[in-house]
Amino acid sequence: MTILNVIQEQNIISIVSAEKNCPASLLREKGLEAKVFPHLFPDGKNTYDDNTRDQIK
Amino acid sequence: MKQILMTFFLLSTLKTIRRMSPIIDETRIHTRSFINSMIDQFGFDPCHRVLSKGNIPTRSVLLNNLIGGKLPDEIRILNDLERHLIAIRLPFMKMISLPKGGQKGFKGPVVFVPSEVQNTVNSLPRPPNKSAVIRLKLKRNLNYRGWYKYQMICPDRAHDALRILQKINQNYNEIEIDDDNYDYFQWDEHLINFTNADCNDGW
Repeated sequence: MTILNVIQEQNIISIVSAEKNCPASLLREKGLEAKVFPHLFPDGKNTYDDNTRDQIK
Repeated sequence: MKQILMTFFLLSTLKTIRRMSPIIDETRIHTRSFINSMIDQFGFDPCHRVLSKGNIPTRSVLLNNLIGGKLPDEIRILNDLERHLIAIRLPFMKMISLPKGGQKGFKGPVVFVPSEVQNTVNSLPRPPNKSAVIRLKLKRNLNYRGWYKYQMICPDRAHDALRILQKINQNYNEIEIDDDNYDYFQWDEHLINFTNADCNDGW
């Protein structure tokens, strides 16, 4: 109960991490999906823009 | 879709089988029997013509480098809001619920906005207990009363995940974290000494 009380007494912090930033271009920027989902692309490789994808037929 | 996924799965398993037994010449026979058993079991033929010649199909996961990297535990345990905190770009899209099946889809354009990860993560409060959680609201604008996400997060988990990402991900090279495994028991002494010295100089 004490832990809950301590949590309830805390002030709620609000953050705005992407405020007033210009949107990134979907076509020009490379490896965009790796930047958006770092938990799915932990090494930041094998994205759609990689040259190895050209081999797909 | 299910068939495609099953094909990818099959190809990866075939390749591993081959890698595990490079000396044996009967690999081709093995794969052939494996494919036949799959045809009996599932009723379809995964790239039989190519595989029976001993080649890797062009659509395979291995040839196109589509296998995902190993996910570290520090990133796997993050919750929804903490994953938002460590992402460099934030996607904004209009979500709709599809008519059947309870799935979600999105409609219209998607916008990717750069997020200031370094400032955000460095400005999070650092509670003395490393496993402590704080309540956090992610907003679109500081002036708005409403929020996009409101959750309990553990700031130390976000720090740990960023430290791991700095090592393995090229996109995180420029990001710097202020504290490296901070220890408040040492920092207290440091701060006390610093303030004392400061006061003595001033007086």
